[in-house]
Amino acid sequence: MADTFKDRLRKALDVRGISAAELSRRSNISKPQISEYLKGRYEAKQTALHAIAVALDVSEAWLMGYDVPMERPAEVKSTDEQIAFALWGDDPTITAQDIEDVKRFAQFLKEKKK
Amino acid sequence: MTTPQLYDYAEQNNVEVYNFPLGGRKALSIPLEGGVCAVAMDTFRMTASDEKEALAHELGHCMTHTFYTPVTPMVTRARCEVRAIKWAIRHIIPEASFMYYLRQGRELWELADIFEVDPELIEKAANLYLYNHI
Repeated sequence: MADTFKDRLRKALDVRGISAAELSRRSNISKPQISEYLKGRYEAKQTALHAIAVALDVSEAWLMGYDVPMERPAEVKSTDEQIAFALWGDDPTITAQDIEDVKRFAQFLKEKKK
Repeated sequence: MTTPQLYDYAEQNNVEVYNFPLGGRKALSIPLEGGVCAVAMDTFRMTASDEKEALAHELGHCMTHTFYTPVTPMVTRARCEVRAIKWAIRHIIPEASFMYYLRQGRELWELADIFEVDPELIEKAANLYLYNHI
């Protein structure tokens, strides 16, 4: 991981051509806080990271410095092929039972939010 | 981190953790809109070390945003798993403590007892800290 959060944030602002003040407005994060991120004093936590990633239309993982595409992946969708998840274990194989479990859990969460 | 500390960490980072019966894997996580994710833990099927490792692993996915879909290439899914495992190791088997006990000449099973994880994860931690790969 060569770039840090600070580097990627600066790069995203350059690529999107928006100022830190504009990012503050779009993400609803205060200007001083954005400034701290740009100075590398702090790294954004989960919710702030998401807000910044959405405001800049970049992927959270890329923003964190990982070697992944800058483009933001599709949000969670309801079709089997598009639903995003992660399974415990180091075996990357996905079974029909795993998909069924993911769908049941997603449905459980959906009903809980109602 | 201990298991209760992992639950606290999840709460502080808006990660929702649920005890949820699963038919396949013992734990999984899914990203949610709004920058948080939810973790399902089938704790009825877990040992104490399973619970600690599974929660740390799924938190690893949540905190590094490494999720995939059924059509994500296998190599990418494997990479996501490696990131989650590394995150988990660094948080439940901190390098400084691991190296301290290693220098004391502790055996693999002793380290597993100390960190309350399976010996398999201790082997992965050794690979990560000594050879920088898993």
